[in-house]
Amino acid sequence: MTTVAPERLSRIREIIAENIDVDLDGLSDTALFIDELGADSLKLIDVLSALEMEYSIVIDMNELPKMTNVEATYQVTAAAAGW
Amino acid sequence: MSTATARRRVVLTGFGVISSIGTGVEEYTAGLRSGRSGARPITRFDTEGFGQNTACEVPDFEPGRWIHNVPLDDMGRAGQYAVAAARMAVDDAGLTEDDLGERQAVITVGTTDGESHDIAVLLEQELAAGDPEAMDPVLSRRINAGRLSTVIARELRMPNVEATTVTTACAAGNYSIGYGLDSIRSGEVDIALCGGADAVCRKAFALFKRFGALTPDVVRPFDKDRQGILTGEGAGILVLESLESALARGARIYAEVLGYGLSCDAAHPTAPNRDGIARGIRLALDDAGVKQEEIDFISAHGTGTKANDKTESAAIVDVYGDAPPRTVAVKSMLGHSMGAASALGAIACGLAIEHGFIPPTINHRETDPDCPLDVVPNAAVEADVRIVQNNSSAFAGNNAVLILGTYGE
Repeated sequence: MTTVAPERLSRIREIIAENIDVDLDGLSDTALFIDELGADSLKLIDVLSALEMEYSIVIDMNELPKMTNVEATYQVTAAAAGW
Repeated sequence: MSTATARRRVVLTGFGVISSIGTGVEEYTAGLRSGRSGARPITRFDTEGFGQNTACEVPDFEPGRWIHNVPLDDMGRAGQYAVAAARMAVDDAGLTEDDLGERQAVITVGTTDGESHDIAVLLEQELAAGDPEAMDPVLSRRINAGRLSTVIARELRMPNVEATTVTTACAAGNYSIGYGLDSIRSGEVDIALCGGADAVCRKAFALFKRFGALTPDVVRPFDKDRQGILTGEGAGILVLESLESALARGARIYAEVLGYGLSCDAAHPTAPNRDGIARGIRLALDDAGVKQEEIDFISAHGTGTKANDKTESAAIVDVYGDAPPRTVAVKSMLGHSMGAASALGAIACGLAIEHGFIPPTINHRETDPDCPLDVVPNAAVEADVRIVQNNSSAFAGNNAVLILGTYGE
């Protein structure tokens, strides 16, 4: 587990909110994208793609099922970016 | 529907095939029988950055062999495939330009991407120059998908036609055939040229790559280790003809078009829907007046993605119960030729009826327990094939299912 860098977490939260179409203020770090926030696999691909572009990284598609909430998405991104 | 006996009967009298496993009826039949693979390195566009470069391209296309009246530059690759397959189909049916001339007819071509390859080239030209003036007007003129059908009318010199391009994506071939079937059944026309065409393009490749639905090696429909599709291309055009017209001119009859069913999931943009597929199958069987136990095999949509094959299998079991007919995926050989796919599937069904064999599902190792089907793994089987079901499903939730049967004289 990577230590969370607050400014990166904040940016990732913004990217997620924009791509799964939820209000940034109401987006907690643990709310489940699909079960609680109504996202689907297509929207998660949008998130993955936006993160790849933001940080110039490649995230393996097999990581997608792990990206269940903000916290987990941060960890997947951090691992791909080598933070 | 109980009107089946009162309706005009419709038969298939000609096939035109451009495919990655063979051009023309003879080569296509040989490809299906022997389980040929159309997978090869992509030549059409630069795949740098994608990490893979395989598709089922047509390797040996010579448009000048088939297209005589329309300048080749007037069409992109998809248009050329459509026209070449149409020319081949009318030749195969024994119809000359004089026969077709003033006749009223329907021409329908289904497509997913139309001339998207040309659109991508135009975009590259604009971006490279930073100026829209840099876009080649020859390409710009031919990108309208509507032309896939009208250009067939031009080539075959058929002015009295309703020429329509059907854009129901990966189910569009079956939609086209169904449209032609209705037009002949209703008595509007005696002849319809129907099918689908698509050409390999970066757009489709990138889309499926991004979805994680592009296989890194080969297409393994219904296999427990399947990883996705390969994009493919080609065209299949079928000559649909009223039985009276076919008999009057002594035409060779491949098969009868018994019926079709359409359904729309009205749900998710990309995820296949078990109930929607099952509803389409039931509608097709009803329209054809065919009972489940009469189906000799199913030509599945069978893309090789995790989601499709599992969902389609479940829908088949919903309709057929625990002992469904043998179910094969020609996409294991052809890749996913998009709008052409179900037209090429329908032709495969017609050839199976004509020649008495069931094409294989190649690249198969171990059937997924979630797909409890006899997929005719790896080798075609000889069989008395009388009635066949051809499935197709598309993004946006459209399903089209076609039923063909042997024509009993």
